[in-house]
Amino acid sequence: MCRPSFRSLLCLVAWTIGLSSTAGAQPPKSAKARPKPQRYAWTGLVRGPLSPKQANTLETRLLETLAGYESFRLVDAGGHALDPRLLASDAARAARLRDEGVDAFLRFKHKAAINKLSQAVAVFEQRLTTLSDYEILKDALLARAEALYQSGEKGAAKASLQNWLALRPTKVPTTQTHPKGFVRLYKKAKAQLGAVGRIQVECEDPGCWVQLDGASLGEAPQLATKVRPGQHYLVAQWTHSVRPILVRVAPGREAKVIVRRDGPSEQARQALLGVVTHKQGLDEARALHGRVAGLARAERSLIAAVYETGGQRYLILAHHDSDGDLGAVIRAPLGAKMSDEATDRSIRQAGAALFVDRREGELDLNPTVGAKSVRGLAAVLYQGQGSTEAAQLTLTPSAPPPPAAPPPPDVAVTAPAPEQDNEDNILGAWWFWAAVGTAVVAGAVTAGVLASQGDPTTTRFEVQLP
Amino acid sequence: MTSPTLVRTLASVLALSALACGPGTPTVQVSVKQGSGAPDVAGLARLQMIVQTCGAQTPAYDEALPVRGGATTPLELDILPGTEMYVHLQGWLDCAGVACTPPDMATVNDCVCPSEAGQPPQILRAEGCTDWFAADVDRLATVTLGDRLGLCPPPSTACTAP
Repeated sequence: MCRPSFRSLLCLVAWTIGLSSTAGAQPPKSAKARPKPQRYAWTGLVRGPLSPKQANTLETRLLETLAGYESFRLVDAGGHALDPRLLASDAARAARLRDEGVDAFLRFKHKAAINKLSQAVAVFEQRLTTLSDYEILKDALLARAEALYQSGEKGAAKASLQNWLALRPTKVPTTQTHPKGFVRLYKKAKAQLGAVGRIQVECEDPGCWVQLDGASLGEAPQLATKVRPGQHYLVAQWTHSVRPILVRVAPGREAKVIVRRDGPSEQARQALLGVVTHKQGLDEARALHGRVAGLARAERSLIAAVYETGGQRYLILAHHDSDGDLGAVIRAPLGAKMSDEATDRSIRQAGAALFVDRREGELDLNPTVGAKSVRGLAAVLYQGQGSTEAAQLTLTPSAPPPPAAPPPPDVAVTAPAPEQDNEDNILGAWWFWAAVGTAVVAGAVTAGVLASQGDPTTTRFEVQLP
Repeated sequence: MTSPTLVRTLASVLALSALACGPGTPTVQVSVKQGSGAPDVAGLARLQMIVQTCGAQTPAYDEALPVRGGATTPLELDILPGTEMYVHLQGWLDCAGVACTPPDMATVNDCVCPSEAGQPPQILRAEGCTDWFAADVDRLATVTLGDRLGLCPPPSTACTAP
């Protein structure tokens, strides 16, 4: 069956544009290009002999160190940002949409303004509720209310004002800043908001810190009182994961929220931790790492574990690619306390070996010598070797460090030089016109196929009820 | 050099032709299972199905399904094959005689006032959803209707908009 898709048309356009851009302007040879940071999914720490408190201290220090590398950004198993830098780019996007919406409003393009401001609200609600600063959302909601009011949609304007009021804004519209009619609508929206309610938050898993509308409430359980009716943004956060929850509070009522870490991503994360705890093998680990990375939309997944042998505690840190294949696993000695300098130094050196030097395979870290290639470390992590596990870590002299490591991810790399023939006058080249001619023919063929079939591309659903 | 450029051009044309002649409409078989604690599907007042694609402002489908056993009428939705989406099912029961809460203020376990006059108020009693998935080809999506509310839909951050 020959069926067109809009993707092919988009591809044609993109391809044609790409052709013209490659045939025309080239980036200057001196241009610097910073590779886009990859997303790494953090699975968690299997604490082994550590107490929960020690494990939490170690995991916090580990994540703080990992958040310092430019080449990747940490997300949790559900794909939520653990690295504030990921939030910064989304915040910039939301702020830009808000500014464009306000700009459109000032030019009396109310429909465009409503569209842009709604997009700003959506970006914030979907990606930024873990922020402590909600000014972008508040600004967008108020501006959207005004744009809706000016376009005659007073009901929607009042609803947007009530969403804004629920967040307890510090600014209020006055006749000095807004039209009289809008100020009247604001007063009406406020009067109809109703009595304050409460939100009772409990977490099924310990170590859960909660935040409401950007304000930290503390460790769960918590009762938030004097909560204005309407929509609120609750965020439950553990060391290794984040769960944003939308809560609606009815006037004078108490909303009870019991936060469960659940769903496919949490199940995959727990299963992977179980593989390490119960030593279920590398094949099982590989499959689950692939699943964790896939669900988190990450290029890699990371896992850590602590184990003890011969009276010495070690940290093992491993990363796998999105297919689940092991990239590297490193063992580093831990200090007596999880907060001491020896532990910090080991974490930093392990991070440098894995993410700056980009060492691969199985590595044993000696604080004075550096990382040496070994055998059997993945087996220690995923299969368990009992009391002989230390003996499994034999140095492999045939595997020296890579002689020429790829450029460190923390520095800008030079863009590849353009091909020489692109610098010539390509309009006189036969191949350029051949390429243009081919593109035109391809476009005509594709357009013809699209025009002859015409239907939008669809997906069919069949529902089978029990 | 000229020849690699020409080769790339021709390869692109071939790829384009392949794209233009892609596969047909994929079918998503939604298999609804009865979870523990959930009311019997046949006893529901309304079984709402929501299909939401990644990045879209409004659902591609948000309608009540006929509540009877077996297959329902096939639906064909304007969803490009390969677009990430989820399927979310909500089972509602009538709650007439109980004070209801307006839809925009209702929380879980509230009896929700009808949005249209003449309809009874209803309360959400079961729900279930898939994770984000894409259907380039025919595939099966299983939704288990359970009595644990508030776990659906999957987080919007977990998908990649086209």
